Amino acid sequence: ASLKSLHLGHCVISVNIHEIRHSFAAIKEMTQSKDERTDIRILHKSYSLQNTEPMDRCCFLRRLLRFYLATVFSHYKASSPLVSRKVSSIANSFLSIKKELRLCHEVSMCHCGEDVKHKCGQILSQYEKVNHSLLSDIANACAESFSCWKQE
Amino acid sequence: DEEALLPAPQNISILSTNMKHFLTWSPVTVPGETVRYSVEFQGEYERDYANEIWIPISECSLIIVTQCNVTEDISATVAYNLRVRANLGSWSSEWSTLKVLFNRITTFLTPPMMEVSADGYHLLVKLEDLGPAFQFHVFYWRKEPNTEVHKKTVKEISSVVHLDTMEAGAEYCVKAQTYVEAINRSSNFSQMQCVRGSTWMTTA
Repeated sequence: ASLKSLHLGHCVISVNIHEIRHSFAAIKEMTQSKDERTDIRILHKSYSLQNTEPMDRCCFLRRLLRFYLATVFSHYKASSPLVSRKVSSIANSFLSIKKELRLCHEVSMCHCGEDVKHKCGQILSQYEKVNHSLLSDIANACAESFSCWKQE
Repeated sequence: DEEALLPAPQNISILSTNMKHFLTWSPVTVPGETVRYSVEFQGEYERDYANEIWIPISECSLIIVTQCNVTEDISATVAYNLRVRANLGSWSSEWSTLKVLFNRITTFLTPPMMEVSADGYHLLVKLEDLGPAFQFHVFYWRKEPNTEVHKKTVKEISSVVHLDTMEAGAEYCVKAQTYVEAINRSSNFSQMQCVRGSTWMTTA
């Protein structure tokens, strides 16, 4: 089924993983060929959702999505009309997930611990090291964070 | 001003059925000329985070027909805006934009077409393939007082679905509805169909 239930502490949301992965798959090959820096990864495995305390996962995911929406995607320069359309698909899917998480936040189910703040700081500093206009690392990182979204 | 000379397309609207979304508009007529059209879309992300940019749909760039399949780009459950303009040579009209934003959650879901049959003692149903976004809830029961209704969820369309093993001579009835996970909505039920052994009838 295309819809996955994500259990983020007390917060449970449904995510259409199939559609997101479909869009990622379309751009992944295209973007990797332009990747100059393969030594830097924005989302190191230790920053993944799985390696985050269940009670912190909602907040971590919310901040991660905000990071992609407000920072990563806005810096990115689409290399082709198709990539631009797929990035739009991903971004709008992220936005619909973020809106679901807001509901949890509004009923105080989105606790933000120090660990999350630290991780988000690390992700941001990693991001500063890469060429913001390239999407390749994003495609990699996001594909990984989605695969680690798979229900345990 | 060249834009003012070429009128903008009118009556722009979205026709959305079973998660297939088409933008349509009325033709712009210029005697003796072939007017072409170009379509662009804008999701909620583009409005909230990306300076309200518009994204061209290459398959609907300089087209002659007055409709565009936007299904591939309406790929999230958020509000989308769409616009179209006319082109004639170097001239372009003003953009015509949807009057109301479109969210795929409002797509019209039709009751599924189905074909119920009996193969000896086996109660079978054949369902139409509506694409990967669709599941089917199939309800079936033996036609007798106080009967129990059974439900089967079909997630992937194969040729025929086996529902039950029937008792000889007993009549069984079936109805189905579609379910779209991405928008968490179901269609109305199909017409009930009943079958008995090798003969079957459709209830009006």
